[in-house]
Amino acid sequence: MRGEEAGVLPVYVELEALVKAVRHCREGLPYEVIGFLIGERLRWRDKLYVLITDTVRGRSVQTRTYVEFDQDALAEVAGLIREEHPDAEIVGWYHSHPGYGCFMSPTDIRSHTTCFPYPHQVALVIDPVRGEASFFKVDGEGDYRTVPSAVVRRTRGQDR
Amino acid sequence: MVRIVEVRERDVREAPPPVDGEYELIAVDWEGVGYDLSDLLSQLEDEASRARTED
Ligand SMILES: [Zn+2]
Repeated sequence: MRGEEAGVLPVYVELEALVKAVRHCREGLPYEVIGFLIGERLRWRDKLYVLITDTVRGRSVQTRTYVEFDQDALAEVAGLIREEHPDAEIVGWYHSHPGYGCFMSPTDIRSHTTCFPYPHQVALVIDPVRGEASFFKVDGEGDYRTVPSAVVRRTRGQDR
Repeated sequence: MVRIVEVRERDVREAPPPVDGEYELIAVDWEGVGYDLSDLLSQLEDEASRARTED
Protein backbone atom coordinates (compact mmCIF):
# COMPACT_ATOMS: atom_id res chain seq x y z
CA MET A 1 0.00 0.00 0.00
CA ARG A 2 1.62 3.20 -1.12
CA GLY A 3 -1.34 5.50 -0.82
CA GLU A 4 -2.43 4.93 -4.36
CA GLU A 5 -5.70 3.16 -3.65
CA ALA A 6 -8.87 5.16 -4.11
CA GLY A 7 -9.56 7.79 -1.50
CA VAL A 8 -6.20 7.79 0.27
CA LEU A 9 -4.05 10.60 -0.97
CA PRO A 10 -0.44 10.42 0.11
CA VAL A 11 0.80 13.39 2.08
CA TYR A 12 4.19 15.07 1.73
CA VAL A 13 5.18 17.46 4.48
CA GLU A 14 8.07 19.89 4.33
CA LEU A 15 10.45 19.31 7.23
CA GLU A 16 10.34 22.95 8.34
CA ALA A 17 6.56 22.87 8.54
CA LEU A 18 6.64 19.69 10.61
CA VAL A 19 9.35 21.02 12.92
CA LYS A 20 7.36 24.22 13.45
CA ALA A 21 4.35 22.17 14.57
CA VAL A 22 6.50 19.95 16.81
CA ARG A 23 8.04 23.04 18.49
CA HIS A 24 4.54 24.40 19.11
CA CYS A 25 3.53 21.09 20.72
CA ARG A 26 6.65 21.09 22.92
CA GLU A 27 6.14 24.70 24.03
CA GLY A 28 2.57 23.89 24.96
CA LEU A 29 3.49 21.13 27.42
CA PRO A 30 1.86 19.86 29.54
CA TYR A 31 -1.19 20.98 27.60
CA GLU A 32 -2.52 20.00 24.23
CA VAL A 33 -2.16 22.53 21.44
CA ILE A 34 -3.81 22.80 18.06
CA GLY A 35 -2.94 24.31 14.68
CA PHE A 36 -3.51 24.21 10.94
CA LEU A 37 -1.75 22.47 8.08
CA ILE A 38 -1.28 24.73 5.07
CA GLY A 39 -0.54 23.44 1.62
CA GLU A 40 -1.87 22.40 -1.71
CA ARG A 41 -3.53 19.51 -3.49
CA LEU A 42 -1.47 18.54 -6.52
CA ARG A 43 -1.78 16.09 -9.35
CA TRP A 44 0.83 13.99 -11.10
CA ARG A 45 0.07 11.34 -13.75
CA ASP A 46 -3.62 11.32 -12.77
CA LYS A 47 -2.83 10.78 -9.10
CA LEU A 48 -3.59 13.33 -6.46
CA TYR A 49 -1.43 14.06 -3.45
CA VAL A 50 -1.17 16.72 -0.77
CA LEU A 51 1.90 18.86 -0.04
CA ILE A 52 2.06 20.60 3.35
CA THR A 53 4.29 23.66 3.17
CA ASP A 54 3.53 25.45 6.44
CA THR A 55 1.79 25.13 9.77
CA VAL A 56 -0.03 27.88 11.65
CA ARG A 57 -0.75 27.92 15.36
CA GLY A 58 -4.36 27.98 16.37
CA ARG A 59 -5.90 29.08 19.61
CA SER A 60 -7.88 26.48 21.44
CA VAL A 61 -9.59 25.62 24.64
CA GLN A 62 -6.84 23.84 26.51
CA THR A 63 -7.02 21.32 29.25
CA ARG A 64 -4.48 18.72 30.12
CA THR A 65 -6.47 15.93 28.57
CA TYR A 66 -8.29 17.24 25.57
CA VAL A 67 -8.30 20.06 23.08
CA GLU A 68 -11.27 21.67 21.43
CA PHE A 69 -11.62 24.20 18.71
CA ASP A 70 -12.47 27.69 19.84
CA GLN A 71 -14.71 28.30 16.87
CA ASP A 72 -14.29 32.09 16.74
CA ALA A 73 -10.53 31.73 16.96
CA LEU A 74 -10.63 29.11 14.23
CA ALA A 75 -12.54 31.48 11.95
CA GLU A 76 -10.07 34.26 12.70
CA VAL A 77 -7.02 32.13 11.97
CA ALA A 78 -8.63 30.76 8.80
CA GLY A 79 -9.22 34.37 7.65
CA LEU A 80 -5.59 35.30 8.33
CA ILE A 81 -4.38 32.28 6.41
CA ARG A 82 -6.49 33.25 3.41
CA GLU A 83 -4.96 36.74 3.51
CA GLU A 84 -1.36 35.67 4.04
CA HIS A 85 -1.32 32.58 1.85
CA PRO A 86 -3.78 33.33 -0.96
CA ASP A 87 -2.58 30.34 -2.99
CA ALA A 88 -2.59 27.91 -0.14
CA GLU A 89 -5.36 25.86 1.31
CA ILE A 90 -5.97 24.61 4.79
CA VAL A 91 -5.35 20.94 4.11
CA GLY A 92 -5.93 19.82 7.67
CA TRP A 93 -5.01 20.35 11.30
CA TYR A 94 -2.56 19.17 13.91
CA HIS A 95 -2.76 18.76 17.64
CA SER A 96 -0.71 17.23 20.41
CA HIS A 97 -1.25 14.21 22.64
CA PRO A 98 1.35 14.86 25.33
CA GLY A 99 2.55 11.48 26.53
CA TYR A 100 -0.31 9.27 25.40
CA GLY A 101 0.55 8.39 21.83
CA CYS A 102 -0.83 9.09 18.39
CA PHE A 103 -4.43 8.12 17.61
CA MET A 104 -7.76 9.85 16.99
CA SER A 105 -10.04 10.14 20.01
CA PRO A 106 -13.85 10.31 19.59
CA THR A 107 -13.58 14.10 20.12
CA ASP A 108 -10.85 14.32 17.47
CA ILE A 109 -12.98 12.35 15.02
CA ARG A 110 -15.96 14.63 15.67
CA SER A 111 -13.85 17.79 15.20
CA HIS A 112 -12.32 16.42 12.04
CA THR A 113 -15.63 15.41 10.49
CA THR A 114 -17.18 18.78 11.30
CA CYS A 115 -14.34 21.12 10.41
CA PHE A 116 -12.39 19.22 7.76
CA PRO A 117 -14.95 17.33 5.70
CA TYR A 118 -13.02 17.23 2.42
CA PRO A 119 -11.51 13.87 1.49
CA HIS A 120 -7.98 15.27 1.12
CA GLN A 121 -7.94 16.93 4.55
CA VAL A 122 -5.81 15.17 7.14
CA ALA A 123 -5.12 15.25 10.85
CA LEU A 124 -1.57 15.20 12.19
CA VAL A 125 -1.26 13.99 15.78
CA ILE A 126 2.02 14.72 17.57
CA ASP A 127 3.14 13.31 20.90
CA PRO A 128 5.95 15.66 21.96
CA VAL A 129 6.75 13.57 25.04
CA ARG A 130 7.20 10.23 23.28
CA GLY A 131 8.53 11.99 20.18
CA GLU A 132 6.02 10.44 17.77
CA ALA A 133 3.85 11.78 14.97
CA SER A 134 1.25 10.25 12.62
CA PHE A 135 -1.12 11.40 9.91
CA PHE A 136 -4.76 10.29 9.97
CA LYS A 137 -7.97 10.72 8.10
CA VAL A 138 -11.56 9.91 8.95
CA ASP A 139 -13.89 8.04 6.60
CA GLY A 140 -17.62 8.49 6.11
CA GLU A 141 -18.41 5.95 8.84
CA GLY A 142 -16.41 7.90 11.40
CA ASP A 143 -13.57 5.40 11.45
CA TYR A 144 -10.05 6.73 11.27
CA ARG A 145 -7.05 5.31 9.51
CA THR A 146 -3.44 6.27 9.03
CA VAL A 147 -2.35 8.11 5.90
CA PRO A 148 0.83 7.24 4.00
CA SER A 149 3.20 10.19 4.15
CA ALA A 150 6.73 11.41 3.63
CA VAL A 151 8.85 14.21 5.07
CA VAL A 152 10.72 16.22 2.45
CA ARG A 153 13.07 19.16 2.43
CA ARG A 154 13.44 21.90 -0.11
CA THR A 155 17.01 21.98 -1.39
CA ARG A 156 16.74 24.70 -4.02
CA GLY A 157 14.71 27.80 -4.62
CA GLN A 158 14.89 28.71 -0.98
CA ASP A 159 16.25 32.07 0.08
CA ARG A 160 16.15 31.63 3.83
CA MET B 1 -18.56 26.40 11.46
CA VAL B 2 -18.43 23.87 8.68
CA ARG B 3 -17.96 26.64 6.15
CA ILE B 4 -14.92 28.13 7.91
CA VAL B 5 -12.40 25.87 6.29
CA GLU B 6 -13.91 25.95 2.88
CA VAL B 7 -12.05 24.73 -0.14
CA ARG B 8 -12.27 26.86 -3.24
CA GLU B 9 -13.12 25.09 -6.43
CA ARG B 10 -10.21 25.38 -8.80
CA ASP B 11 -7.97 23.38 -11.01
CA VAL B 12 -5.49 21.19 -9.24
CA ARG B 13 -1.97 22.10 -10.29
CA GLU B 14 0.16 19.48 -12.03
CA ALA B 15 3.51 18.81 -10.33
CA PRO B 16 5.71 15.78 -9.67
CA PRO B 17 5.82 14.52 -6.08
CA PRO B 18 8.48 16.43 -4.11
CA VAL B 19 11.02 13.64 -3.83
CA ASP B 20 13.86 14.87 -6.02
CA GLY B 21 14.90 17.95 -7.96
CA GLU B 22 14.00 20.84 -5.69
CA TYR B 23 13.38 18.47 -2.81
CA GLU B 24 15.07 15.68 -0.95
CA LEU B 25 13.32 12.89 0.87
CA ILE B 26 14.02 12.93 4.61
CA ALA B 27 11.76 10.20 5.98
CA VAL B 28 8.85 8.08 4.74
CA ASP B 29 5.89 6.50 6.45
CA TRP B 30 4.10 4.67 3.65
CA GLU B 31 2.79 2.06 6.06
CA GLY B 32 1.28 4.62 8.42
CA VAL B 33 3.22 3.49 11.48
CA GLY B 34 4.24 7.05 12.40
CA TYR B 35 7.50 8.97 12.74
CA ASP B 36 10.18 8.93 15.38
CA LEU B 37 10.63 12.65 15.89
CA SER B 38 13.80 12.35 17.94
CA ASP B 39 15.58 11.06 14.82
CA LEU B 40 14.35 13.98 12.73
CA LEU B 41 15.05 16.61 15.36
CA SER B 42 18.51 15.39 16.32
CA GLN B 43 19.42 15.40 12.64
CA LEU B 44 18.34 19.04 12.48
CA GLU B 45 20.16 19.97 15.66
CA ASP B 46 23.37 18.39 14.35
CA GLU B 47 23.08 20.46 11.20
CA ALA B 48 22.37 23.63 13.18
CA SER B 49 25.36 23.15 15.47
CA ARG B 50 27.57 22.33 12.50
CA ALA B 51 26.40 25.54 10.84
CA ARG B 52 27.21 27.46 14.04
CA THR B 53 30.71 25.96 14.26
CA GLU B 54 31.41 26.89 10.66
CA ASP B 55 30.54 30.57 11.33
ZN1 LIG C 1 -6.59 14.23 20.16
